[in-house]
Amino acid sequence: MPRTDQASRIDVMFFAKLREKAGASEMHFTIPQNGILLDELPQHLTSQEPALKDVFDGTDRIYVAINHELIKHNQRVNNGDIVAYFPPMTGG
Amino acid sequence: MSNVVRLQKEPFDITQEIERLERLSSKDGAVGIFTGKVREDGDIQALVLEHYPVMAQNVLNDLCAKAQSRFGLSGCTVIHRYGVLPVGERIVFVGTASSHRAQALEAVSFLIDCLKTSAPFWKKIIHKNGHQNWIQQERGDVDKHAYWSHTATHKA
Repeated sequence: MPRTDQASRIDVMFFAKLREKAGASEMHFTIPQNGILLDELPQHLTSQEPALKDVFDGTDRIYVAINHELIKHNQRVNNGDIVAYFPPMTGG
Repeated sequence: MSNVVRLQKEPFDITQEIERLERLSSKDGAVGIFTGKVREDGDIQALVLEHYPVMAQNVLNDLCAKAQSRFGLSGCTVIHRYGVLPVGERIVFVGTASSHRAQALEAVSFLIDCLKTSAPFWKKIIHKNGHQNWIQQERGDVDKHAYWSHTATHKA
């Protein structure tokens, strides 16, 4: 039987301007046992770490990746996932 | 290994990279290259290149595979530097090898246009007076990437 009292954990990474706003490049968070929808994650993270309000309140577009892949549609974030938030890319 | 993707702090040797592409196939008649460097512009002292290593490697590997199949290349090379790069330093190298020049040159444009807005790199300007600011993504770069999504190719 899997334990039901064990919280799920995720790693959250921030890059560039969002890393500066977050004040860290990586943070660890707990999420509900059955995961959480990507659209609901910013509010959930901000409730645990109020300093992140500044990261998600801006008007600039934010990209998100799950496990190093760019995500364009809402989906569930599960235990052990690595979520990354970053601004539009300016390479080359 | 026909495609090479490297993310590195160190400078790269253009001659060495061209020679690798030239050696890929005796049936090739063309090698196309692009290099991007930090340009003198106002009071810019340097650029800081930040990147997301795992995702950048994956995105560039995928782009090279797409370029190889779309343009019929023998292979290609993308080298992207990160860290602090003063004015005049090279940032990126894109090279392609193909039987004919049209495919080689078109594939170079494809790779640089697509990587600018899809590979997770970000540039910050360090000004001579010490101020710093992040470069915003340009609409023109987004349009150039979009162009390749709905354009036919002169495949070899």
